[in-house]
Amino acid sequence: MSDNGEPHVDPPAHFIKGLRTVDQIDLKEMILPLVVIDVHSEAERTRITL
Amino acid sequence: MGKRSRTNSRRRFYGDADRLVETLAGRGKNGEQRCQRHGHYPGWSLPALKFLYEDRKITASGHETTDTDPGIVTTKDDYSLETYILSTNHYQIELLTNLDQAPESGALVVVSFPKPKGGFGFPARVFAILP
Repeated sequence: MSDNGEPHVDPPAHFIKGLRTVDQIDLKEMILPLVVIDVHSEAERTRITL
Repeated sequence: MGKRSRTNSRRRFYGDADRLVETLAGRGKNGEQRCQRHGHYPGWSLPALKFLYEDRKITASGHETTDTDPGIVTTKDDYSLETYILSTNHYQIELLTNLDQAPESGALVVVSFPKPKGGFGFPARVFAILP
């Protein structure tokens, strides 16, 4: 259970074998000060090239 | 799971991604596939991530988009920015919503998920406590 269309956690082991899996994320890492970086206006302006 | 199969599984499971991906499929004279599907969603940059993780020492990051890397490079199976985050032992959250309802700073975020033993990922319930 790692991929679906809803919000999901990717632990280090998602990409790197041997690093931490979901159960190894510490509780202290699960409640944090939140900083939001709003770039939606820049994304609207950015020309997308192929 | 290899990068290619991972990409395929994402295309299968990420319903929202289909809205973000433009189909440019076209056939050449001999019926060959001329174009593939290109993701058009924005992504992080390495300087931004390095500043946040190495200078500001953040614990984790998340985004509303399907992937850390911009769609234009994930189309080419390039997940180097997600690899940067995860290989430095940090976790990330994808497909966040309603971030426009949270203040730039001052809130607390609660990132909750079960703890499946050895899990490589899991749906997360993420909410903010506003100041």
